[in-house]
Amino acid sequence: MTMEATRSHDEHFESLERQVAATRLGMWIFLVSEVLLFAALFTLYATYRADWPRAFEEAVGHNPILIGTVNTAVLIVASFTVAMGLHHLQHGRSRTAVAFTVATVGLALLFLGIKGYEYSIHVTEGILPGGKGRFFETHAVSDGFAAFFTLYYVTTGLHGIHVTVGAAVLAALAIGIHRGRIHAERSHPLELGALYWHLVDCIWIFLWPLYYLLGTHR
Amino acid sequence: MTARTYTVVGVALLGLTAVSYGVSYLPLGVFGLPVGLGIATVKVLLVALFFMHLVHAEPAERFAALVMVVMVAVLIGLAAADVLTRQPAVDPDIERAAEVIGD
Repeated sequence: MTMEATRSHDEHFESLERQVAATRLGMWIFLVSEVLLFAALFTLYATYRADWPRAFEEAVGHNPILIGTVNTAVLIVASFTVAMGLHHLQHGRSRTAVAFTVATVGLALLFLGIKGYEYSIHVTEGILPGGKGRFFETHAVSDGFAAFFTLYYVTTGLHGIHVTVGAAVLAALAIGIHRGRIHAERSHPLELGALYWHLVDCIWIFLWPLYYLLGTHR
Repeated sequence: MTARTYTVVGVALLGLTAVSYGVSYLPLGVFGLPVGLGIATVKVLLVALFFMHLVHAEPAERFAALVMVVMVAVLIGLAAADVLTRQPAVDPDIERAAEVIGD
């Protein structure tokens, strides 16, 4: 007797398949709302950059491009590992699925570590949000430079919170797979967690060129 | 979707990242922004279609994704158009009045 035969769906759904499909659509709608949250910050970027094109180019050039690029690669690999984890789970290979999911959590923590190191560079330099910090007292830069870095802190900070939440969710899912609560016949929890994680990657994919590449290169 | 598909997409994503990095050093001038964001769009499409399974998702999920793209385009597009088409405010009546008074 498979797990499938003993599972029943909620009354208001016509089948278990429809119920799972509904939860997946619900996650997509949630992802849309998350995108619109970040879209507000990207809109600010667009309008500020239109006002201060040269200051933004200079400020982007000031960001450590290598650190940003490494982090981009980390998140891309992390998207790959969670996709593989789901793939193996759906094919009944739960142990492999746990390994891939744990690897994803590890990469998420690596991302956060690198980000924290990057923040420490800025803080040591004296670049703080709101145009505060020693850097702005000793360098004659336009307001646009300060606006860029304030927006940088807010956007990457909010993204970092999302990475942290994603890592926590994936860690809980790894435990769930390990304990047999999530398996090939009930894989949608990992599927939903993976969707959220891919969104976090997508947001960074847009963030990276805007904050690290599209400026003057030293 | 096979493990091979995920691997090919993953390698493509890393490859496009390298391309984006390299291209950013080219003197593209005003084309730098659209090229950089264009590559980013392709990468996000790969993640959405293959990693997030939109290629074989039901129409409702695809519609949600489409609505997202349209809404963001409207938001950023109109906000940027607003700022980029601003000119210094000159009220013709005030200008004429200033001429008459001799200011």
